[in-house]
Amino acid sequence: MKYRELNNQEIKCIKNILSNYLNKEAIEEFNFKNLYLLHDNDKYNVIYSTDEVLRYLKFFKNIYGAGILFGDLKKDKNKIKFSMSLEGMDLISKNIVKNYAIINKKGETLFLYGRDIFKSSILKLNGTGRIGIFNKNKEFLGIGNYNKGEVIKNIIDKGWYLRKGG
Amino acid sequence: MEAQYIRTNTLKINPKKLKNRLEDKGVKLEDTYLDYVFEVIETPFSIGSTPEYLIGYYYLQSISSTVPPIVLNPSIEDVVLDMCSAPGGKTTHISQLMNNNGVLVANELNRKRIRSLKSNIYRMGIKNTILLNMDALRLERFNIYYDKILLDAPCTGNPIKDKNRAPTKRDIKYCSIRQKNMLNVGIDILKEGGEIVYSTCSPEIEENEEVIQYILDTREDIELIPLHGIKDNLKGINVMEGELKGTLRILPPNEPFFIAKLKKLTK
Repeated sequence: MKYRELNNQEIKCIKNILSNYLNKEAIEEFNFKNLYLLHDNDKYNVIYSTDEVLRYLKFFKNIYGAGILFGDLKKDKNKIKFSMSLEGMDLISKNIVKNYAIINKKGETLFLYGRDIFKSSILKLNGTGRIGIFNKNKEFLGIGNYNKGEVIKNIIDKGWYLRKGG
Repeated sequence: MEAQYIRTNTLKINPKKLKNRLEDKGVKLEDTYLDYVFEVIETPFSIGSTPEYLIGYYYLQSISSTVPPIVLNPSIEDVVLDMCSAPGGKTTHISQLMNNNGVLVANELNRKRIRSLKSNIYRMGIKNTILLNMDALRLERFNIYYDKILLDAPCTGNPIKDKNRAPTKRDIKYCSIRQKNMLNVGIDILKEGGEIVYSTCSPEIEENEEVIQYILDTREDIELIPLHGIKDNLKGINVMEGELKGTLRILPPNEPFFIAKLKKLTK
């Protein structure tokens, strides 16, 4: 994959998504300079890495990856859309104050098997749409989708590493 | 059955906290030579699928495979290369020793295996890596020189890992030639004064001592760093000096491993 720095439009788009989860101070403190774009044809991965790694990228023409995947950018004509990855949400999880759910032990076990979360397993719910899912210890487990029903749909959970991670 | 070990991911959790947490769930753990690695004595469930594992609090690996990164001893400022990385046990261990700092270039030739490497890097929250997918023999095409290199070379394996292992003389010779070539490339891209650790999990002399002896005989810019000193620190592991003085061999009941350390001389 080739790589380049993010442009202002892309950073603005990422900030918008982060504002769904973080307060203003946390967004201001976030190191946007540690984000980089890896691209291959129409695939755009936003990665998060250290200053040193980003400095050393110039030695390589083509890389398979770097740091962790923060999310994906989708480009359609002039519009761009950003969606956060499992690892990206994990990275900001300690600062998430909006759009999240805390679930009980039973819900945690089922969620990590790829299942949805039923109302009876939800201990706390804040917000709708794509939400961060946490266990009782406030450890990040994955991403769900909640649309004011009885169920939080499983979008992706950390059981993915076992099921599909290889 | 081979003993199971877990290496705490100290980038994410304190080893004592992890130990207490797993013991509360009925897992019996025993200390090892590293205060963040535990032997799993008894577990009521599969230790490779717990929430703690998925959250990235630990990595499952053999105790022998923890030794090469310890011998490599990377610092937080180093630029390190892991020439054959997948599935990432040693790579994530090296990153942990670097406290997620410096630069760790992790290479893997096999496209399928690099997926598991990436998955483990993500699960463990490793941020200091650059991943390459190429033949290690071509790593010298980049204009970059490393402080430390790990070459955990592809080998014919061992009977503990693979009970049906039956390598032919040809297999062993093929591996030995490739290992010599890879080690030569590794030394070429090592900084002067830099160090390279060579390891395999094969018991064959042709893939181990013979490779190191060949390098010592054919290059003038390298010296062997004797590893006698580290032997005493590896408590609980069946370790002895290799056929070549200064190298190490880990023997059953632990997974067999051969380890040697070389230093590139200043001109």
